[in-house]
Amino acid sequence: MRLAWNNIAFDRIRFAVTVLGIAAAVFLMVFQGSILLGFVRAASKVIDSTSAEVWIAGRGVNCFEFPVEIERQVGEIAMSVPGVASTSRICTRAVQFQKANGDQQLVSLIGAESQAGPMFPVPRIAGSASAAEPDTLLIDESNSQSLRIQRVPADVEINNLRARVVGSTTGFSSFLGSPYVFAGYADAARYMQLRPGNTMFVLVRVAPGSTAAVVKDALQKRLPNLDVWTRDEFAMRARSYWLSQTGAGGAILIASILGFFIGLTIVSQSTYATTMENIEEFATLKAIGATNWFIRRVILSQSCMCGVVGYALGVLITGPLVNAASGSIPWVAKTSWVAGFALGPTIVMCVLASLVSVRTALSVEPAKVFRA
Amino acid sequence: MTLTETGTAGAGARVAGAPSLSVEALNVHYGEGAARVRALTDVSLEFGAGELSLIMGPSGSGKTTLLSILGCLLRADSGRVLVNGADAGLLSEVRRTGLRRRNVGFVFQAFRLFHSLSAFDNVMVAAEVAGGRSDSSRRRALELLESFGLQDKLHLKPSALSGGEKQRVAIARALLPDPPILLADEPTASLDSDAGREISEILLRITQDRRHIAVVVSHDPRWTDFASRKVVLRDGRVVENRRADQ
Repeated sequence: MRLAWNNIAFDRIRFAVTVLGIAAAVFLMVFQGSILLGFVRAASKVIDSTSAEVWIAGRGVNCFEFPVEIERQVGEIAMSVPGVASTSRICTRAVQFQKANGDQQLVSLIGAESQAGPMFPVPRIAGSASAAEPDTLLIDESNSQSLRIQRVPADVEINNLRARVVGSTTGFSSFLGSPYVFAGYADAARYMQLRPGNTMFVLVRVAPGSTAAVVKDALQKRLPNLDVWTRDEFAMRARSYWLSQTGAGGAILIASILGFFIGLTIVSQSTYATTMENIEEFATLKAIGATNWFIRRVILSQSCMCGVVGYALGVLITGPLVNAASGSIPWVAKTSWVAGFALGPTIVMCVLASLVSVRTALSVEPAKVFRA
Repeated sequence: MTLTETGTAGAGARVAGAPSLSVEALNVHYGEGAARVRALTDVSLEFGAGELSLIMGPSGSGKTTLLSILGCLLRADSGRVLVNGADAGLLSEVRRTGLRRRNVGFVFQAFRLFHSLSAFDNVMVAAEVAGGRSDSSRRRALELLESFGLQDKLHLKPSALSGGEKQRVAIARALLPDPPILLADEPTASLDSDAGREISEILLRITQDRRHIAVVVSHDPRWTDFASRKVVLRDGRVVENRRADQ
């Protein structure tokens, strides 16, 4: 569609402004999309990192971060249910973390038994896959500065009890503002003064030949006063809680949608201005026999050409900016498919933007061409 | 050249397979109520192949309305418009557009070129409208532009062309799909006398060589030298309709 391209390229300043506007819209959509995706992933990161197929939690618990205490014997009861291979415990609570320089900070302490899963960060004894090293902690690499851990081992205090940071993990940046700190279950229970008869979550591994759904149902029948979820269900519940009930997801989503509408407004205005400027040319096209579809195609092409160029520019600038932002927002998702996903809304934006222009161009009277 | 010298086959000498264009008992009005204006009243005309017809008349006499009706751009209130045998008044808008695309080429006083396209691409727009660019349409566009002496101006935008050159590009665009009917509205009004004569000669040559029907609306009396038929309108009525040799 040479006519479409020439129409938009003829006025280079308008074209540049349109492309920049779309690029800004794409940036907003992709950047906010990356934050949203990162937020969603971070919201269930702890749950997703365990290898247990079923979670047992207190009634009404929506997410990992806000648990309630349940009786420790739940684990033993669960073991008696057919299909259960093993159980382990996990607990979390906000605790006071005293840095090496004496500063104090609230952190989210997570204590897990080694059976939580091989991917779950637990400070293990060197050479052992199952034994947790006593009085030791792991932190996420992204929090080492805020926790002032320059090198390991580093002596710190948790709730006024001595502990030693012995290493770091990655991918567990907290989206809550208080960093995650990992310990063995026994240490964590001690640091957070969890009553010996209580725990917070019981993780269940399903025996070979059984399915998570069947075991979950059996557990739920056996433990009617508790909530039993498959891991995926609990992860989804946590994401949905953080997204919809805290307002945080909504705010991010609105910023992303705002990007869409900013782009829509810019492309609409530009396409409309170009159409009105060339309205007599559309009358000429109609006079020489162009079908309505031909006219639509010219305007849609104009709009989509601006969209594609603006999209490419937007994606180009977004990549480095997302990378730069990951310094302060470590959980932001850095996946290229978020950028790819934005192409769809960009095209939709361009198609919507051209609707008014198409209507105007189609309504022009072809006999207008005879007026000098 | 005189009116008599250019006379060719008239309506009465229609050849089988030759293009035809006629209007019968045409009535057109604009506006409603007190503002109602009759643009054409009981107009019946027939245009033959190889004939360049000149429509003259004062401003507001209905010339442009007649041309719009002949080109299927407007609908008449009553009467018939027959384009190659098809009654345009009975066709849907989509079919009328198709009829126009296949049968009618337009040349406008204001050229109506696409300002962002080169001379060559302006001509090729007609190919795109007719279904798409092809090697044969490219060849034909080049031939037309070369035959109009524009071989060195193919890549120039309209803003870099003179009035006469613009009108030659517009004629090439009109001729690209080889329509049997050519409608021209004041095609020389924006041109100096040399360029105007050149355009008149081109239109006459095409009409005669290809046995097309050409209808030219003009105030310019010089066109009478080229026309084989002269129709004069006044207040929407045909007050004169004679062949050049009559």
